Amino acid sequence: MAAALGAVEQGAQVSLVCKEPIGYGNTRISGGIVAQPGYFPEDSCEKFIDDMAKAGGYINEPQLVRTVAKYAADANQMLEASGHLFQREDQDYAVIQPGGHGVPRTLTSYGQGIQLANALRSAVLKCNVEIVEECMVVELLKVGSVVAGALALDITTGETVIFKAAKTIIATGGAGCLLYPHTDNMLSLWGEGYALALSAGASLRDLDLIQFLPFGIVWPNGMEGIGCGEPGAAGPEGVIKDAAGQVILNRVNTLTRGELVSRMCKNLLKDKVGPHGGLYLDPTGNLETEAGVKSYRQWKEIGAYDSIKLAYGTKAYHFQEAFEVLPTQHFTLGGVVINQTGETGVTNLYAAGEVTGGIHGADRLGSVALLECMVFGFRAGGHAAKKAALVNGPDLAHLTGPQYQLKQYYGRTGSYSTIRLLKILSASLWRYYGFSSCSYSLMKLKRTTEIIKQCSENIKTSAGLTYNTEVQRLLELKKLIEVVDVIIYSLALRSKADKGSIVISKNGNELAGSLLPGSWGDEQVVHTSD
Amino acid sequence: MSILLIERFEPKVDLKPYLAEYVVKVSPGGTVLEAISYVRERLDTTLAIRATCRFKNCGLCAVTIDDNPKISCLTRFKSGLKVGPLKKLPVIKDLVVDRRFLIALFRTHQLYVMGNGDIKVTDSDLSEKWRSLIKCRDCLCCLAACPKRQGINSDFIGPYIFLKLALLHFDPRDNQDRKKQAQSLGIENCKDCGQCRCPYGILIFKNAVIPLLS
Repeated sequence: MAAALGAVEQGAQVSLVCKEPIGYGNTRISGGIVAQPGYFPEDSCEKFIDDMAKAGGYINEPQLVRTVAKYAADANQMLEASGHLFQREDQDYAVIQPGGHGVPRTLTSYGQGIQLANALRSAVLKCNVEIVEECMVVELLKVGSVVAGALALDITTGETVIFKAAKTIIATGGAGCLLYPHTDNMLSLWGEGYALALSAGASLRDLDLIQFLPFGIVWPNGMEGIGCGEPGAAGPEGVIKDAAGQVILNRVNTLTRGELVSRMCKNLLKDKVGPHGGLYLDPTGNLETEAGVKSYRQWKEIGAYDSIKLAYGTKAYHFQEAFEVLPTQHFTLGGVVINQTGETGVTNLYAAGEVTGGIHGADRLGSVALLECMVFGFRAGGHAAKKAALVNGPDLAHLTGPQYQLKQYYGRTGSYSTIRLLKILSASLWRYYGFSSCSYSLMKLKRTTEIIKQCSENIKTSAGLTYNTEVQRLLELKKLIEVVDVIIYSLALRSKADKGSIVISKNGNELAGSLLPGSWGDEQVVHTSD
Repeated sequence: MSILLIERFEPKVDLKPYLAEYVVKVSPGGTVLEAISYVRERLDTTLAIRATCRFKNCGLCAVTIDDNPKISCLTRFKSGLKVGPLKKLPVIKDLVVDRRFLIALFRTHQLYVMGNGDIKVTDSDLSEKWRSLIKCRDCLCCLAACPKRQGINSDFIGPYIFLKLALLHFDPRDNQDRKKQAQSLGIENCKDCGQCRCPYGILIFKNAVIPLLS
């Protein structure tokens, strides 16, 4: 939506193609917090850049990090001009300091991410943007080596739609559903943006790197993976215990997401785990101290424990008993390689938001995800619109063959269910790649993926065109398999290198990878599998 | 094992909706969405549902549960429940209703801040009513529950739009006469009703309808 606004501001005619109803991406489940470096005199863009580089293990791309810092204030201003309200006390923003930030510099939103998504939606609706909802892009169309639009499936009607465009911006979000159900992400995020970009000729960077939240619900089944708190939500007295009741981690609330997840994972691989494979967050000590009670009330006030109430009941919700938790996938760190204006290196193709890679490196600071969406969304949209004015619309008259008719996927009479195959693949990813990987687990994952790939050629789908989820899932599965191939390739390369970024591109039908050394000079540190 | 009844309907294929019975396995304390997902993943992959966040944030999994509009990810499952699409909205397929009219609704009635975006709104400028109304998840349960709306083609626009107008009425940046707008859209119909229901606990009548009527 930010990219659409950036393009409209430059006078472009824009079609916004959304797989879900408009405004239902991950922004909606976010906390609505957005960093603004340099807002207070004791802060500066340079300090923010240092914090991002440190969090990212110095494998983030310096130019992209500097772009985020430089244009953050402009992006937040544009967000407010679009109708969003950041919280202010008197005339100053109310700021917080999420883990990893050296100083308080993060703006907070009324109504969290929902209001931010709604504000962007309103701003887009206010403009003359063509909005196409529940329409899934299946392929980027090219004329020679130049991207000229997109082939898409109207999920509601089953019709094939071709969009002709002088410029195309991918803003499809991440791939949280890779590890479904161990994710707090929206369930539409199967990572097809990565496959679309790769097939069009773009490169993918560090696609194997993902960020977890430490506390996810493990039970009941339907709520598995839903987030139930940041490290700070454990309160000053919160501890992590194993299934035998032994305290294995103290001072939980002082750790960053990455530190806590890393330490939890080491214990998850041992045998003293709960019945659902998790560890126990015991927050009961908070009720015995003033600071603990205060912390509990603050986090409860913003709804951080709501999922605990529904999943585990009121005793856990009131911190009167320990409850089982498991880290849950939160953010895809890697993605499409871009430059400072969101260009991918493929003519006419841009990318912005979580689908891109290189901004965060090996880990992400809280409140920078929405910020980079805004910065690169506005910039990519604006740049694309300016350049679009210089080129003629593409001629796609030749796109008439059967491969451009998505009806071929309806009414297939094979043996396998796509929904089942997707579940098997995501379960394998969780098992062999989720928390740790080694050459054996990579081999198992590779084998499973090959079998799923074979099965995906022998699929059963119903013939009805209207809202056919089986066909939608089939198209998602095909993209996901391509993404998993890149992840396996990246993991294999990473196991041979002790630092740097992994960049993958496609050479014909084969993947080709390279190691990109970090560019932060002496600051660069060894990246570990943590 | 438990029973879940789902109203199935594909307008282009079926003459009328029909009830299908499924034997489902749901975790103790599990939600209706878990039961519906069990059907879709294991029993009948042709079932159409729309659900994406799995816990309270998106509002897209709103359905009719035993004749009441509810959010399926926030409603505990029990055997024998009957689930159908939201009433008084066009059905695309099974539990999926058509929401595409919302874009036209927003644009036609300018349901976004009109006015000076440069005003710095501080915490004290925002009323409790505004803070209550921003909890709206656009689930459309209020439209499905409205007794004044007769059906899909009802002339009465319903409480959802009044909630959005009230939100703008309380927004210090908006410079439009939202009360007048609400009157022209028939808010008088709501005067003696007060039966709006919101699964997120928003008091629509108290915090949106009455302020626009007064």
